[in-house]
Amino acid sequence: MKSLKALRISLFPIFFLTTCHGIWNFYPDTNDPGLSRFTSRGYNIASCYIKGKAHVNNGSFYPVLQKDSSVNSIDTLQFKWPLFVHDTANIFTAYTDIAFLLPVPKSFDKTNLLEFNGQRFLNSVPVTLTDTSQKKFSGVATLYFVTVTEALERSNRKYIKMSGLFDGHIGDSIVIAKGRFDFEIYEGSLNF
Amino acid sequence: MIPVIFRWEPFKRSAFFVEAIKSFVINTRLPADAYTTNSQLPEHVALTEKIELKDFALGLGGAFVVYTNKKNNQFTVNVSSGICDENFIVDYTKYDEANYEVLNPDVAANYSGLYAAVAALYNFHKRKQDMFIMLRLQTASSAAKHDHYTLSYNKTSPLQLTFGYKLFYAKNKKK
Repeated sequence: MKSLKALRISLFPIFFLTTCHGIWNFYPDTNDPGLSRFTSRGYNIASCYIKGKAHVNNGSFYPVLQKDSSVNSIDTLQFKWPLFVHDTANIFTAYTDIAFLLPVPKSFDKTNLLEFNGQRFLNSVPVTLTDTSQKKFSGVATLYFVTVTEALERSNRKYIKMSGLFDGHIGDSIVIAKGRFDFEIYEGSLNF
Repeated sequence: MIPVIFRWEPFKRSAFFVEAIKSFVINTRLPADAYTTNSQLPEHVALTEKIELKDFALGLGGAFVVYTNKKNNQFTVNVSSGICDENFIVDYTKYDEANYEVLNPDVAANYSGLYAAVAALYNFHKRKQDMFIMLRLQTASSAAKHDHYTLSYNKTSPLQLTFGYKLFYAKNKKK
């Protein structure tokens, strides 16, 4: 019975660490309370202020990066991730995801994505926010891909490391500020 | 890094000693980059990052005589252990913090913990003054990192080669 108790005690930290894995890569930015530092190491973290409240992704969900086809000559590159409000007291006023919708040619492929490295799209990227009642709000954003590189990581799998900054506004009432992202996306998950 | 070691051997016939170590470190300067989404500003500025280290260690140790020759020159192995404190201070050249974000910024860190050291010391015996040459290796502080964040700097583990003089003092005897 004693050994069973010991086992239970020793297993608890393992479970705790597993469930907490998602927040391991949140490294607080002392200049911007509630946000993570601006990094380019594939930490799988993104954070920003929306209406002055800090929002983060929790690291357990990879971003969606996919090309949505359309009937006309322009497709849309959707770059989207879930959001969680950093201050749980404001959870019901939070937004649940953010999506950038970049117009791209039908021929857009991985090489074109890598060419985003160092490109700043000023006040021209459509952005949508979804709130807790699934209501969508559309506006315009600036999206700056500071680094987009191909990396050979675990088990010889190829990843795209993307990091950058963003801000934007939806009308006059919703301001997205001080946004930063740092993702590592498995190339096999891309649909282009 | 220029370490200054103060070593006190309180007993003439004992190998016991007390050591205090303070390093004078030349600040490290590294290039850094900051970026902005503000259309009114250049998208990138190059910065200089300054990393300053302040450290101190205090320990106790013992010396073991390995070899003594006819001229009383001695080769000893010294082992010591104690507490140490390393404080890294990070500063960036002045920039517009409201609009720019530093990429992969370094942050300040403090490592207070224990250390162990081993030194090989050869003592050249003279009548009034001893000279010595010492090769000393000290472990890094036992303090763990606070998180997994990658920094440009790491805890130090100094390897030093020192040439020095021993200063003797004599207690005044009461008449």
